[in-house]
Amino acid sequence: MTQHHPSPDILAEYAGGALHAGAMLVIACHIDGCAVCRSEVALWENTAGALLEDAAPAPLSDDALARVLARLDTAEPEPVRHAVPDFLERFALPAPLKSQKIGRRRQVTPNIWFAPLDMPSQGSTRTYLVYAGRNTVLAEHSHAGREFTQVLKGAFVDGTGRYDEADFACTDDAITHTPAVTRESECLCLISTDKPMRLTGFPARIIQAVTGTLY
Amino acid sequence: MPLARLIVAVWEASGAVTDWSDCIVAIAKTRDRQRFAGLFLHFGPRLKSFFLRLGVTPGVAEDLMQETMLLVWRKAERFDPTRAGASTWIFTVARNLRIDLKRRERDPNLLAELYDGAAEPTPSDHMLTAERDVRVRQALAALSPEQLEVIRLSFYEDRPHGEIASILDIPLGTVKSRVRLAMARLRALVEDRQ
Repeated sequence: MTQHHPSPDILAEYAGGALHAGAMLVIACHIDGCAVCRSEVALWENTAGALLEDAAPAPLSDDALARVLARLDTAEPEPVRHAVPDFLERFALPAPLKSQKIGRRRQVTPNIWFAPLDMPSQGSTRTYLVYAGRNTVLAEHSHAGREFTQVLKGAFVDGTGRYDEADFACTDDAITHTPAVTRESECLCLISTDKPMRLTGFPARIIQAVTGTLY
Repeated sequence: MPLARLIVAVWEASGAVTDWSDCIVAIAKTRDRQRFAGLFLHFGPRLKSFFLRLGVTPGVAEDLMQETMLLVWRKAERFDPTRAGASTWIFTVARNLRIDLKRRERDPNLLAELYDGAAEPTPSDHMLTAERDVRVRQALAALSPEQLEVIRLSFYEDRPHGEIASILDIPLGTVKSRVRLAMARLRALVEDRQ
């Protein structure tokens, strides 16, 4: 049973399309498996639909209809399908993630790897998968802006609580945390941040792993 | 295109189009361009108005409206009237395009995939969404004008709370609490009727 959900505000932002593409993807992955949040999102989509229906019509250009009719028979571009990389085949991935362009895995330590997602118009945002083996502690870090995390497998613990498979976590720049994977299972998460993370611990490696310190 | 509008107006008046959901389903089945023209003349001006409110130029708003309606034509088979009403579905198509705004130069299909893959409905979802458009409409009508205004500004037009504060000339804290209350009230109204 999912314990941690996106806040109502975040779900409303998602429904209204106000999040950046990476954050949209994390929420899409959460609601893919969460009927409660799906229902909340549907409420806001219905609201937006009703507001669209009631919107004061803006006059179209004279040739608007002719233009669209002329394009109806043009061939639809082939949708781009990206294959799931080999290193992810053993995981059960949520549907919205499967068609994404996932970059090469970067092994940071024997126990930890990152794989970036190529998101549209990402600007300073970063979206990536992070894997950590059982009983692994990630380097202490904080964030500029918000970080969304969806747990795809396993569980981790930080100062704010325990996050199991299918849980969602949101941190902001007020939080400095040191996530630790529990001993029961390896952990795979999808993460999207407004800005790259800031390492606060020492040494300032990209990610430092210290095993076996928590459990 | 006054002639086409006249034809559609006559056709609408004759009762041929009373339900836009049926219209989209029919377009999916028969690829009927005349029905599509009717749908276009109803939703096109509303979509343009939606994009204009997001602050783009009239030219861009017109282009995005065109792209949205073209996607509606192409994806009509995927429309499921038991899951969402016509205006809700068309809104989601427009929303997805909107996120696409900043990166027109890149692959236009990339983001559409993000949503298309999402969330196969469960049976209970069907129950919830089938009548939801009606309930939401009733709930919106029951909100106070102030509440409706903040819902529209913050959620539909996606304006930051600071901007809403200056539009309505009320303190930021009042905006935040008013948005929160309006959302809670809307949710309560919809859920009470279930």
